[in-house]
Amino acid sequence: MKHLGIRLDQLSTRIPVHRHGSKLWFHFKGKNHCYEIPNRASGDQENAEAAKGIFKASMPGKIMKVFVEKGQEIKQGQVLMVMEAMKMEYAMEASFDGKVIELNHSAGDQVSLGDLLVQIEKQEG
Amino acid sequence: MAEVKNFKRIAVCNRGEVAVRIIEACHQLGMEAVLLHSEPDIGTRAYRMANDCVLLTGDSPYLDIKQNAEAAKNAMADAVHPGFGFLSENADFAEAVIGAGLTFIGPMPDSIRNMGDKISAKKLMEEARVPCIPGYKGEDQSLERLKSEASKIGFPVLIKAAAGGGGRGMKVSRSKADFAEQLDSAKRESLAAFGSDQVFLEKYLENTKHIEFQIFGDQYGNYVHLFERECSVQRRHQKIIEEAPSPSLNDETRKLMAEAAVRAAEKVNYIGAGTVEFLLAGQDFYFLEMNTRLQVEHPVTEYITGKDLVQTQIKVAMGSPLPFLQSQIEKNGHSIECRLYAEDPYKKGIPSTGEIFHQKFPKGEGRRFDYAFDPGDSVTSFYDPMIGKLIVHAENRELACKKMIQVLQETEIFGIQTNIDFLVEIINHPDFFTGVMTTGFIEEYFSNALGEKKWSEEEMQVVEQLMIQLANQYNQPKEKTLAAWQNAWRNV
Repeated sequence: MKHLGIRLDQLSTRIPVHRHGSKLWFHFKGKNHCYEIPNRASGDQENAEAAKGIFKASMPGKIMKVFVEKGQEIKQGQVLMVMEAMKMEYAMEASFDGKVIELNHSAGDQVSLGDLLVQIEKQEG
Repeated sequence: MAEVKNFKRIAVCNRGEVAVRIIEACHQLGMEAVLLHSEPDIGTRAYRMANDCVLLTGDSPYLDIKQNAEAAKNAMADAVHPGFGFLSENADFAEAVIGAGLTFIGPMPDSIRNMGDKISAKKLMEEARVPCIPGYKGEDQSLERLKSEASKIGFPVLIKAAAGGGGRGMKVSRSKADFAEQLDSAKRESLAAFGSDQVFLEKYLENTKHIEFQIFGDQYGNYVHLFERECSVQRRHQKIIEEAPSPSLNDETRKLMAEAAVRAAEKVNYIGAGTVEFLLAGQDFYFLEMNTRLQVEHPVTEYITGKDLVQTQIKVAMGSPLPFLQSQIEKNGHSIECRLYAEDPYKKGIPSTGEIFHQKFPKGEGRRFDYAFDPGDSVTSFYDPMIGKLIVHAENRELACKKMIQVLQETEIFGIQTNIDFLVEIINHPDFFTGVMTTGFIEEYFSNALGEKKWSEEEMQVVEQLMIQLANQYNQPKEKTLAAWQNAWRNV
């Protein structure tokens, strides 16, 4: 357990924090919170979204490499981009053959939790 | 006059926060405490606080009468404190302890037996002029007879299948006019479900409150009460929040109920601490049952009366007369207790287990924390999920509510989910805040506990800021916590 500083619009304070495995425990504004840090193995929701071709930042981090362009056709299993978060590389692989329909970042960009990184669409026919 | 024994060593046949409470009382009285415990309870506060510990074996060690009585004897204890739950209301256990030559800290086995049986308890209470829920359980099942019994009981009346259970064959008649119709319906359902159309009648009590009186008796025929507790906030008959005094009693009712509770204690020659439970409807009260032991919620009584109930139990068991007369018992201010359960209120209250990494209670004046575990201990799935109690005392109820909210919001626990957020919502609910809540309160307003957890935008901002800081810290190789992470995360 340690205390970390946080800064919000009206508030700057230090709160108790403990990280254990994929769980981030903290006490903020009268509540104990347990945030489940998503990862590739256990992020069910994330996997479900990836299956639909939507890739969002599961953690705040930095885009390391971008291998595709908007409009480019891609094959199942092709690596679309790599981001780094919590000192871990996270590669986004296409879950089906298709086309890149959304691409909002380039290498070096800082991204926030939940940001849409890349979206692919199934090829018709 | 009976001889006063001097206990030097007491065996605690229980676990968790109540074991801690009893061990502390022993130490305050200059006595030693021996904890008889199960294997999973080695990592608990009680284990560390006891002077000696004896490991019990088997599947249900806390329910093993023979093993507990023998272990207490072999541990050279003078007496056994059974706490609550487990063997605390088991007359056979009390007899086994006495048979082993030790003192049982509780009432005589006969008192436990008489009050433990619902039918004999009701009969004794009626003899002692303690109001019971009026009813009819006669053989005569004719419409005329049942109707006249129903009028005698007073509407609304509950018609119950004699062979029944689970609500089947159960109907409410609100007046003489609908009685025949409801009776027919109850009989039809009863016949279909249980193969018998015999029914019982009972007064139907609506919007009831749970009120209980703390009583105490000694070996010299002295009986006192220590006022009431209200425990209406319950879920499936499990109490969640208790308080003293009750916000619902007027002085006249309080006096009548206290007198009835003392009559109940006298009737069974009660020795030690006991609780007479009532249902309250309006200002009418009805005997529910008697608990022949210490209650979980005893701290609220200790706060408003200033009397130590566990120390008093031990003194009375030694053969000392009650250390206080009725005239020396006064109530001051208001006290509320919240039971801390290791469960997730955002997932319908499913139990939560695991290691407690961090735990901080906001100690202060008029705040008391009875708890079972320290950081580093693990909550297991072997026992009841109650891991502690938060108790406050203030000048009046409104201040006690505010103080409790503050205490709940300042309590930090990491590693297991707890019902703290749920407790805050309950106390902030208008029905609780104004004191009008009934035993149906949780079902009516919180049948799903708190529902699914929703993260606010602000909370997600906090998560994000924390994650960035933690990521930066993992970058520094000297960080102590890094070692474990290097295995799971690839440094780049």
